[in-house]
Amino acid sequence: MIEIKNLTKIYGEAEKASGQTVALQNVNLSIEKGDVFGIIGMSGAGKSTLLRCLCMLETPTQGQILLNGQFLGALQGEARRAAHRQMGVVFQGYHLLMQKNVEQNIAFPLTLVPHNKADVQARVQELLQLVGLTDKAKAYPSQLSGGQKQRVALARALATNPAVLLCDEPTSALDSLTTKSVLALLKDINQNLGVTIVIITHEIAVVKSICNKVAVIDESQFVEVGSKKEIFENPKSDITKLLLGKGGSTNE
Amino acid sequence: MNEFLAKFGPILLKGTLDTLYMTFVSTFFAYLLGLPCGVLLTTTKKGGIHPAPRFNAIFGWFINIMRSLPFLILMIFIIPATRFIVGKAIGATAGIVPLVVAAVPFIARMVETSLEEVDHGVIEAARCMGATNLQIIMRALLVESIPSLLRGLSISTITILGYTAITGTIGAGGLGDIAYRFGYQRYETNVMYATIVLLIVLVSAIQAFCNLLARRADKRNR
Repeated sequence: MIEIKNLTKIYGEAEKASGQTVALQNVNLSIEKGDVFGIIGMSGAGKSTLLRCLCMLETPTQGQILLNGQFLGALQGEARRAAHRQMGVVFQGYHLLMQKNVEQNIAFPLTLVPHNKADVQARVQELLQLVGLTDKAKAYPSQLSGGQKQRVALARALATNPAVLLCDEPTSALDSLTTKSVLALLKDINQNLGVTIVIITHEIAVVKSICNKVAVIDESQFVEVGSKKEIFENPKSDITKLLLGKGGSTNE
Repeated sequence: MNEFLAKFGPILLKGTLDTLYMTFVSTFFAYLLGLPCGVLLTTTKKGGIHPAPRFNAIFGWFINIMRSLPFLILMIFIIPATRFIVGKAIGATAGIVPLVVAAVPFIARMVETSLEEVDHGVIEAARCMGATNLQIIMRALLVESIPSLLRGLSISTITILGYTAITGTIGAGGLGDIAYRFGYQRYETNVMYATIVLLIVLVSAIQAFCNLLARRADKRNR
């Protein structure tokens, strides 16, 4: 489904005094259809950059990303926008339109292409039901709680029936109870709609509760990739042990 | 009081109407041109949705130069253009041309400031949903900044209203012209005070109206 090949991302220009920051160094990863793939790491490890490259907000310095055999880097114009519609993205900060109500926010991606109003309306109702916000259809984001906003963002990301859902710290701004319900919803989406999910997180609990595969990222590289079982039962690197709370050397 | 109104009422009424006419027509045309300029300034900036740093620098310079010209000089300088566009250089309609020319760069900067306030994440989210640049501008940037744009509108309108006093001095009419002729040239201070009161009322009304619009439009604090 998604193939990441020798991906390197360097910020900044070599000539500038501020110098360069290597965010990702020669990263390889393969995500299969139906996976709930957790990418976990500390702040600054490069995980957000990885997601930004996946959703084409950043251009890789080197290497390639393939979505269903299609090179994302080569896409321009309409083909690029079509690829965008294949990927739903959920952000930590929700990024909803604050001046539009819940319905209008969810309908937004559907109305970017020629559409039939009745179809959009029907799809929005379907999505509202899926995320359990039917009674909030006319509410504005400022009237919603964090969990509700994230549900709206999820519904919006799923509107175009994407093949993959990319989540950047989807629960980091939520309390533990709300986190649980959002994660349950994600699991439901994966199992019932067959949407492949990639979750960027720094919380091991997120990985534990819904992922089937995990990649641990540290200092711009993957230190460990495998099934959740392998990694939880037999962590090899210090950073993984640290994240799991199993000691390891802390350097602190 | 009655005597005063009988004598100066018609003049003051005409002055008020001329001022309102110049202010609103100028504001309308200035936004028609200034809004796209503001969008262009924001979107072509480094990190904008369509970065074009060289164009942005040149365009920014041009805006700054236009804003640096004192209004009085600009007004006299473009009299030939005014005559060409409206056919004459005197009267309220002729006053509109320099007002628009002076207000466009000002409004461009006001709009730029409003658009800058829009959360960059929202724009990235729109991009991730497959929005074109035009769709991002029309449906995310402008929509999200409506309350701020409306607050800017009150500032722009009141600034233009202030400038109408200066166009008055070259024969455009309006309250400023009356205040100048009667108060300064003829020592009829009562007329001047009356125009000042009228101007205060106009400014307050414009401010209150725009504030109301902005509050009504803003869905954030409900």
